[in-house]
Amino acid sequence: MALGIVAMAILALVTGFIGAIEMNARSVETAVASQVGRDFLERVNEFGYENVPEGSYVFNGAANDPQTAEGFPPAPYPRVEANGQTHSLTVKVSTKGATLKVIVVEVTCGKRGRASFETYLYPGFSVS
Amino acid sequence: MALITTLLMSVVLLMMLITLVKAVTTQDYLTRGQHDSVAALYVAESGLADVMSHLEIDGNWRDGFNGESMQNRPGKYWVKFFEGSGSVPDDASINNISGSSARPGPRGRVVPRGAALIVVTARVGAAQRQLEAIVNSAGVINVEYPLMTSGSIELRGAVTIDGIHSLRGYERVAAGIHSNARSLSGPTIRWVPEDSSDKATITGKVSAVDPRTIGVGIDFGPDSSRYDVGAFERSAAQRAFPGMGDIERQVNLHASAPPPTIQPAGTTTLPTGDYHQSGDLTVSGDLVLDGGELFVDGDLTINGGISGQGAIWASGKVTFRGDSTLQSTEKAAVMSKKGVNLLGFDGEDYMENFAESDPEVRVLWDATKQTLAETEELLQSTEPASVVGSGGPLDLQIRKLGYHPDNPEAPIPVVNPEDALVGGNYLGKLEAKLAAQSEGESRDFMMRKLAGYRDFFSANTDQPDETAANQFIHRPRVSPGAFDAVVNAGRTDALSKLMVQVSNLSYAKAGSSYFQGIIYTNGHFFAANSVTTLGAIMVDGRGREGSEPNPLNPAESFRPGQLVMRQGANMTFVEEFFEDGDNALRIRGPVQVRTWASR
Repeated sequence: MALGIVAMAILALVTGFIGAIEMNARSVETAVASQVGRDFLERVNEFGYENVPEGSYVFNGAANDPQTAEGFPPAPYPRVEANGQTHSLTVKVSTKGATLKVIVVEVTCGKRGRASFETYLYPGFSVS
Repeated sequence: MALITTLLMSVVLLMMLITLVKAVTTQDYLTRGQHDSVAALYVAESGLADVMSHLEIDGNWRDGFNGESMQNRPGKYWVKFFEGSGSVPDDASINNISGSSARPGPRGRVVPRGAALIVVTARVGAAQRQLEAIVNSAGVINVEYPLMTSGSIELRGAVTIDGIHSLRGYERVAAGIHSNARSLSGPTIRWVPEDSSDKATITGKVSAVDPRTIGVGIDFGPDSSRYDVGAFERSAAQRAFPGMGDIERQVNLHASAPPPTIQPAGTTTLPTGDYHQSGDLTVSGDLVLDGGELFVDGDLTINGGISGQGAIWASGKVTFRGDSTLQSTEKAAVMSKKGVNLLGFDGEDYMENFAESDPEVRVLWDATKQTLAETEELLQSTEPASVVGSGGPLDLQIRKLGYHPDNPEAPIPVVNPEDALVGGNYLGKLEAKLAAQSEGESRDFMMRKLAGYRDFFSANTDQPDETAANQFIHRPRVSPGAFDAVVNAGRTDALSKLMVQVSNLSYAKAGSSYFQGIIYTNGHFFAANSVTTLGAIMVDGRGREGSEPNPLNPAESFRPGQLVMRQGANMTFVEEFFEDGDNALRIRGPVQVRTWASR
């Protein structure tokens, strides 16, 4: 009976431990992905409103979609190594109203890590 | 015992497991929260960008946002404008863009005149971020030189460039000219005196990025006594042009504004408001900007004077023909994507455009031109004696153009446009047509021209024909009754002199330009007439290719960034126009963030 209890406890422990490790890994990957996404949007701000294409576009870093002639999306697109992992960026561009350009960046890392940010660009406006 | 030990160990292991899971879930929660917090900051920035895009179109916009969702990702933003009096809530925004004095804002802030304090609250999940920013809708233009280009500068004739701090005082400031161009084949900055009395006086620096020696890169001629310049500077640092935004974009942003109502001749007045014209626009007559802003998606040509306060934005060229006077307490801005031309007034063009709007004018104007052509032919007749004399071919021609009480053909009521020709006196009838238009300098100028020519072709009534003919022969000019006197007196010896006068009939005038404010173009700047400017001229052709032909000489062309003034320049830099203050020149443009802070 003691053996059975020990076996069950060890099983529960192993299962819980694996789950905790996975959750921890996801958390770390999300944090790193967030940082990569943030870095990318800062680069977009520096890159300038004028150099962001007008219209609707999707740039899939995992599929190595090429940049525009102006070099959009800027690095770290299409992917970057961070914390020992490869992070791929998918960038979507669209417009809002007559002026605003909408940028969405999705950063994926491994199977679980994922961060996504959206921001609007206005000419000459960069507060970051 | 073994069982108890096992149970105890199991309990300890379970507690460790629970602690581990709890620690990991807490970290995951914090990571998510951190992600959402970052996302919320971008949402807040997006909200601010959205506010700025609204303020750019309407400086009085105060609708705000109440939980506006982001387009693609979770997240909302709120902006509430406070309109009342009393204490301002912490999360309230204040729009003081059109205000005349500073207003109190939230948390004891002061919102300056001409600015808005925007507080954006953003939420993503459980995370909330707030940022506040002070933005300007109408920016003060930062100008260092009253005349600055990215290309070459060519000045001819007398040039004076000086500066004052304020229009209300006498405090002098140095004012110079600058070119960012380098590696041109000719001089980057050149001044050429047109006659022996021309001088160039520039109180500030004449500077160029061009490293070539003075006399090559900057060439004011060999005679240094002809010019008085603060200093010459070669290899100067590149100077920054003021951030004026994209002119074409501004024009497109106002595409929904109503079109301007243009008078066919006379004066067109644009009261306060925005006006948008799709395609090229030609204004025949004078344009008065009464606070209006005109956006033209194409070329703008004003064949007449321009005056008043306001702004003109054109995605193409802007051409002023005639007198341009934008002045008084008013300050104006002319923004052109492809270039600015200041030319003399073209009366023929003016009348052609007028004729387009009135069939009667069309008939009279065409008949006038035809009669003048026929008169010229008769004046060149190989048998001069056959064309002179009362009732002769020339006499019949001038009865059409001027007033002749003895004309047997009396005018009739006009039913069809051609009826206007009956009874002659085409020039007098055209003058009357113009008189019915709204007043304006160009209309008045044309009326004076037409009246002068009408009198020239009208009957000589003041003195005997022989006397008047002799006076004309002695001093040939367009004087009342002169043509009639020569023809009636049968003075064939004076026909060549009449010919000179008729062939030189002109409805043009050189014009002059007086401008108070700023002219900014991404193309070229060309002035064929004399230019007096209180303010600044910026010719920023960076990044643009191609060239535009000289409207007066198609064999010559101007490149973006090039400035050419052929009849001299008199420029006074008014420092206070370009400094933040009550007298600053503010133009609409991209809204700019002056300060911002994350709360």
